[in-house]
Amino acid sequence: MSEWSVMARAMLHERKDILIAILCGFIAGIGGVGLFAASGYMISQAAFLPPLYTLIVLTSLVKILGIIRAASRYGERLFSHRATFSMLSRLRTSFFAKLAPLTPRIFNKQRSGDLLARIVGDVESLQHYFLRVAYPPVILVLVFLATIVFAAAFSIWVALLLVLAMLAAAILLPSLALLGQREVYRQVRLQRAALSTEVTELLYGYRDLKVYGQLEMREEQLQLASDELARSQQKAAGNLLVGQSAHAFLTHAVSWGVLALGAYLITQGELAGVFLAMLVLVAQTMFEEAAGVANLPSYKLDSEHAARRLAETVDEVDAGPPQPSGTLATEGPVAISLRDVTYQPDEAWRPTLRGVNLEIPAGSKTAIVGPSGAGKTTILELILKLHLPTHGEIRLNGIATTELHEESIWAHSRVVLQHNHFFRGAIRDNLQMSDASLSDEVMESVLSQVKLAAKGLNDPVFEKGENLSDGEKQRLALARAILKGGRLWLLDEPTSSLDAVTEQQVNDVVNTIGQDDTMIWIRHRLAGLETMDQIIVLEQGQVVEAGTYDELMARRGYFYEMKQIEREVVEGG
Amino acid sequence: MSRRSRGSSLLTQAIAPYRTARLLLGVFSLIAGAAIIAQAAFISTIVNRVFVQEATVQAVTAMLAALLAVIILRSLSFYGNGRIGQFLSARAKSTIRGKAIRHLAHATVPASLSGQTGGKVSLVMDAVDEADSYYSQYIPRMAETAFIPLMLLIVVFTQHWHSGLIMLLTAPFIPIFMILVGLRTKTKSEEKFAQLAEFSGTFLDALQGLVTLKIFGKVKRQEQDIERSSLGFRDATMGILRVAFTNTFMLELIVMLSIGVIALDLAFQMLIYKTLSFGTAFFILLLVPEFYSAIKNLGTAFHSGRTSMGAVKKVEELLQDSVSADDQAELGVSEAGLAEKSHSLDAGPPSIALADVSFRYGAEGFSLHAGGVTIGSGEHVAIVGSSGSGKTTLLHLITGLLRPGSGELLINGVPLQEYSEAEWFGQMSYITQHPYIFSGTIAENIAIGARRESSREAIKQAAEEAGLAPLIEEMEHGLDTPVGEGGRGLSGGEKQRLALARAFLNRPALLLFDEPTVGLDLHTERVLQRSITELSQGATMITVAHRLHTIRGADRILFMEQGQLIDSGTHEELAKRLPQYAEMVNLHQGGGFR
Repeated sequence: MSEWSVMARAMLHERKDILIAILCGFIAGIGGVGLFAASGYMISQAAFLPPLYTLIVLTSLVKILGIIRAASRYGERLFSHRATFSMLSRLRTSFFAKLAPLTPRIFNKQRSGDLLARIVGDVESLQHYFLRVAYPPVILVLVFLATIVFAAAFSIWVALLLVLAMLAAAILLPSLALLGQREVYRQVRLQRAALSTEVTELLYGYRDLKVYGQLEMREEQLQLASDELARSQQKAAGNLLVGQSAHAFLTHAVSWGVLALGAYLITQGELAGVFLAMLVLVAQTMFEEAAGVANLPSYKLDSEHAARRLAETVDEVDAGPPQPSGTLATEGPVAISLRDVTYQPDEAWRPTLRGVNLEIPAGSKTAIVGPSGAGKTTILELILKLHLPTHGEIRLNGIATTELHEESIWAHSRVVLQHNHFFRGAIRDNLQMSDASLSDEVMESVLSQVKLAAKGLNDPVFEKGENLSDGEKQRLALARAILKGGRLWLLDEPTSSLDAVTEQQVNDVVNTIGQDDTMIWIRHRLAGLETMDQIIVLEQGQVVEAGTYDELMARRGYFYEMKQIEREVVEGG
Repeated sequence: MSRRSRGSSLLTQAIAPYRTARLLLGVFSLIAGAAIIAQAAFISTIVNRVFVQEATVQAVTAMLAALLAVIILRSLSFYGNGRIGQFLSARAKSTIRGKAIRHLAHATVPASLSGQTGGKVSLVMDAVDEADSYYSQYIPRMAETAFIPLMLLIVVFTQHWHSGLIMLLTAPFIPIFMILVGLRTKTKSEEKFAQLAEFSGTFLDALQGLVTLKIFGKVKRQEQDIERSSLGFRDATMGILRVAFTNTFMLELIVMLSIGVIALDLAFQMLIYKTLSFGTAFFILLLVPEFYSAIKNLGTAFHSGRTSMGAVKKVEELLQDSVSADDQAELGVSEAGLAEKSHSLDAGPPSIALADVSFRYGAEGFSLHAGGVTIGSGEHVAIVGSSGSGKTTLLHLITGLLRPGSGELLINGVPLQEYSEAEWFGQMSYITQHPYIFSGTIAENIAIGARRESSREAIKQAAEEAGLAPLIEEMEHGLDTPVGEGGRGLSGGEKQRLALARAFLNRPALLLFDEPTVGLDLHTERVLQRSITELSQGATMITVAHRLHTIRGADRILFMEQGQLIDSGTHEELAKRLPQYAEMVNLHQGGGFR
């Protein structure tokens, strides 16, 4: 996706508003030029003591032009901004739509804060592109051409002078302002990002920095970086100022040129004196209208950068091969096998899983345990085809995940993640996610099964489930999984926030409901694993032990030691 | 109102030293004003000479040259004012940002933990950058408006008082309209930011929950939500703009009509009363638009100036936070006047005495009372208690990261304040549950453990002692492998070992250790146990303990309950006389359900 096609497509959508904006802008520009032309002409005419009615006609003209100009300027602003903000709004939505198929892969590359900065900040700065770069030049060229044609009616030489000045304003000055600008801008951006990162680190690592006596040094570095940044910003702003000042000078210089040329032409008898004041004012106004041109290149630069960042975001991440048509058989529990599975996220310097072999028979109950960061969650994500293994393969009922359509895997799975998403709304909305026709009785009975009977179906749920405790969120997610169909249960520490008693009760309920299904539990605690068909112990992405509880305890190996350490912990956080 | 004046005081303070620059602004504005008048005078005279008096171009050559000079002068003074504004802006931003950074770097630990990091960073970066337009736009325009419109008005009055009067009467409408726009825009723009925040919220929320949404096949629905809030944001933005545009429209009408009235009046004066020559009339007609545009420019600059004021007010609020934080929880060790400190710390493990120490977070926050305890030189002490009982707070009080609200901390019998901060922290290693890993290489991260330059050998050895050797061997660049922002790429256990390596490099006389509550990988558990024992040889050690092993091995146990230090003694003593302690140990010793 090229950055320009993004914007072109957006603009095509709003073409009507854009056309109206251009039209209004043109009228406003012409109106302005006409207004000053008329007043210059009027005052010159007045010197000849003309009949009063000429004057009245001219004054009325001046007034009407003034009103037309103000009104069409209003129209231009309104329509161009409406078009722009509609485009931005559409860009944001389409950005999200593009992002959706890329999760969770994209989080290996980008952090959500950065993505937010892009969708909000970068999209926002694109408004400069639409408002100042894309169509204002169209308006300006139209106004310039009309003015030049008008001037040509009085003197071809004055018109030629205006053409030359126009070229200078449109080509020479912007490139002058752009001189070295690209480099300065880049520098400002880099320095700003670096400073912001360093400040963040100062705050995050504050206590450690204090204890290690590093604060003073860090502060000094920050102060230096801050001064550097201010200097670079000054330099960048200085470039802009040069452009603006040069344009202001050009504006006056053009009226000077018209004045001098006009005086010469009048002396030569090629121009009537009565038009001199008018032409001087026309030239001046025409260039004042174009004041934005000087800064056009830097806005262009800025928005190009923003557009590139946006396009990059979605481009960088490989969307993966298209989904194959294979589907998971609907009947019966699912058997899973992992063969020599290694998974390494693109930017990671080591794999999160390496050479994992697992056989999970249909209908069996498996627990995966191990320290945080061992790769437990990654196994679930690979089974769900949220990632594809870097090496090796995963088979569900004998079919490799590469052959299966991801949605068919999801349709057969009941999943509770570590971080479950809840809609803002009511409990009911969040339970009916899989099936909108679920009856209240069914939902209420499931709620009581997961010990959430105290919650009514109409109780509100805030964004991210903010009004629910962690334990309530976990139970709600479990209820949602129970209500969803599927013979494969993938449960990632689903009860870690519950007290021991409730945890036991809820686990029993889930185990009863899923007794004939394949279940994989990721467990943080090592209690209650006695009934599992298989316990898999992971460390640093590798399976270090596997077997039943009794086997592992008898072996007195890794699991046994973990169990001892857990016993040792007198009081958790 | 007082808040506002304080807000602008930081803005004005920041440029107070640059008197010359501000004086120059005035000078350039005067020059610009004179140039505008001269330019209009020359143009009108030249046109008058050529058109009315039918002079030849040769006759006006000198005047044309002078006009060109005036134009150059005008452009230069405009440029000069802009440069001064940018100069002031750069200096002021440096000053304000410097203050904010200084504030953050000298904050107390509780102050540094409170509030959102993102918000503070945005204050240092964005709010300070917002101040820019105050200096680069508002101040230069203010200087120009102080002189130019008045100069123009006087000149017009001397030429033709009718026009002067019209200008004088209509001019006040412009600032009045500007203020009206500003007031309405302010509330509207608050709405807009609320909408934007909502959009950001929805987006971030959806982003984080995308996996759930996908699995339940609900992405489409979320897309619609995003679209709705995105459109809401657009409408809020358009709402503000519509107000602004309408007012601009009215403004332009006023200006246009005023110019029109003046032009008409000029024409009538010339034609009917014949009191005015063409030259003068044209002169006035050239000056009038300049007059209005100068006032209009001020209005625009005022608008951005107000945005700056609002942003800088936020920075001021940040700076003021320090005052209230200082009152309650200043550092235990003072940082000022290091040289005057009378006591230097003896080598060897320190003894620490808490004399009736108490502490409270904020006015209503968690409070802690430690009473009196003495920890002997080289003693190994475990702090135990249920979660939220104040164990870590007690540790922070002992380290001097928090200053007690009342009571005193005596190190080797001397109050902690008598020592310098650098010396005190230099004796100490503090291994937290979540050690912070700075962006840099592993070697750099270990090296910050010592306060002096460390040899590569020493760093390598410390890494080995902390059990990092296998990890480092595995990495392509060994000790020079960058570990990024926040230590990305390292697991919890690896971070712990890195913190241990820092301690090994430092070989502290006082070792503080916040034991992990969760099981790390077995390797790290073993390394921690072995290394801590080694490090604690010949050091005073205080551990916030969660492992029975650690507790049993301690010389003394401090038992915390709801912010109170209830008892201290050996394991056996406490088990005998403190039922809460016995219960806590027994409950978990048996394993039970957990």
